[in-house]
Amino acid sequence: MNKKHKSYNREFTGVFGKALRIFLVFALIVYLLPILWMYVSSARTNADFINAPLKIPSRLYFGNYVKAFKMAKIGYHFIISTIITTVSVLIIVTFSSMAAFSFSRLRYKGRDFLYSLFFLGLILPTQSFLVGMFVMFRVAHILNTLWSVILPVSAIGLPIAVLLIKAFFDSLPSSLEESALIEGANVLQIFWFISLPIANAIIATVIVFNTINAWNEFMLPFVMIQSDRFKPLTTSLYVFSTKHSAKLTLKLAALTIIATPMFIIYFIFQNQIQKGITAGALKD
Amino acid sequence: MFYGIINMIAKKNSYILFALPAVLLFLVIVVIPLLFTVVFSFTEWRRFNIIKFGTFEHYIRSLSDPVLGKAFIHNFLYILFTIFLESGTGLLLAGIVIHLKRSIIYRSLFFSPIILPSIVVGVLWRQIYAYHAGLLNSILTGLGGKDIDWLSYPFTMISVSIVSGWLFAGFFMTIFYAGLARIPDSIIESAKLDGASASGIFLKIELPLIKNLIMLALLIVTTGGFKGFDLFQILLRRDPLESGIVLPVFLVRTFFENQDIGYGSAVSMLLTLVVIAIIIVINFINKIFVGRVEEF
Repeated sequence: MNKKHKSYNREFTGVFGKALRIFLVFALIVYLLPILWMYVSSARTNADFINAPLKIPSRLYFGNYVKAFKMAKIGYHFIISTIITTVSVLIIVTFSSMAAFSFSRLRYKGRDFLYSLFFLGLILPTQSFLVGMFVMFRVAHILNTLWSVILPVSAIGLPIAVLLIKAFFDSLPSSLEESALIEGANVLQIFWFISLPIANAIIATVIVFNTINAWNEFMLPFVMIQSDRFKPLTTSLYVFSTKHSAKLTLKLAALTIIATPMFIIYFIFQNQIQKGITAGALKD
Repeated sequence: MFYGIINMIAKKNSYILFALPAVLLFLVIVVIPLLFTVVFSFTEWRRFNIIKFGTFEHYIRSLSDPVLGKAFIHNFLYILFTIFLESGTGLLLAGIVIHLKRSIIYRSLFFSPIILPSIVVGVLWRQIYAYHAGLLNSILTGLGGKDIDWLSYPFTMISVSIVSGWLFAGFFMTIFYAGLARIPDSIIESAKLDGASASGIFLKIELPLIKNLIMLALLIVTTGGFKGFDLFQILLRRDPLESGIVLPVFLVRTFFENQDIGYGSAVSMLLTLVVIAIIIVINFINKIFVGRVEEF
């Protein structure tokens, strides 16, 4: 995102500026109230919470976190989510950078047709091929395996990644690659040693938003994976929250365990993440 | 932008190998299942066995299915609400932060909910809306009001839309902020010197200059309004009275829970057609009234 405008002269000053700032602070408090409430309530006993959900508790009870971690098997499902995310992102990055390189830098028969194929992926909602995919996976016996989530997550992530990386290559002159070609490098070497390193900024963006997407994916594992053994964090937490609907603070503790590391990562890498999410979502 | 030299690397048909992994994966997982779904939608199924090809029964049935009709109406309501709650709030926030110094902390906090998985957002807000021991009802009764069942009729759609707004307003704020930040300071400054009011600057200078981003936001909200599944499923779960049934949820129930592959495929085709129609209409409006959408 654009950061040119650091020195400011469009600031509203005076009473109006102050009023705006007060309004903004108020809006922010309302906005963050749910999160604050989650943090406070997750450290209370259920009985204490049900009596007065709004009260600031006099004593905090941290046992919820340990209990929630064990009961929701967060450690186990964390590993499943990590596998799904890592493999999908690896597939997306490798396949899309190779394809984008070929669409931008190489010439072969059918190239433009293949490229235009990916535009289809930009407009189609997942729901338009979900039923066919489900039946296909059932016939191929990969329902209830990690592949039934990894494959669609990768395929859905491809089009926008291909487009972004190709646009990036297109915006750069190919003189480096050409001189390497004249020096006698083959295309694979050019791709690996020259083009890929040049594109590292856009590839980082692609990695960021696909990691977030894959990690947060809910609908695909909801439909594809029924056995508890292969559920990622998202759908295992869904089952946990329906099974233990009465254990309110325990549920909130489980959410807190999931959310906290994400907030920490977000505040460390927020520029990258904001860029990644906006670039990824702008595909429409 | 194409530089003339880009395609200079020699032509060889074996180079197709570079594109092949991506193309094959995309064909097998997206294109072929899409074609299957089209065929399935004209096919009569009993559980997982095909009984008859070439039937229009599912499409005819869809026209008179009251639940499907309800789902459509809910989708439109959801879009109507989220246009204001997601993009409207985002625009308002962007319009404020752009005129304040040291706004980075506000911007990053407003953006932050979107990184959470929908399961966290959904379960948290289900508790916020809960009839007993919910945050909202506790505040209401504290103020002397009555408990309200937020996740059932007639509040369902507005309640879910508020969660969507909470989740995505920061995202739209970020987009609009980036657009507003591109407007040269000198324009705003001279308007201020000429005595333009704050609302005048916002409505007459800033808004027209980011109208392409506003169209983009409309596109994202309207197409997104037909794709949203997670929040509805997590917030409402079984939703036995269908007070918040929407197309994607209806679709999953039809083909997955009731194992009605044929009808599910037809619903999926209807959903696809609606999304594509929206994209075409908005692009059309965009071309006529707004002009080219700026690369972002």
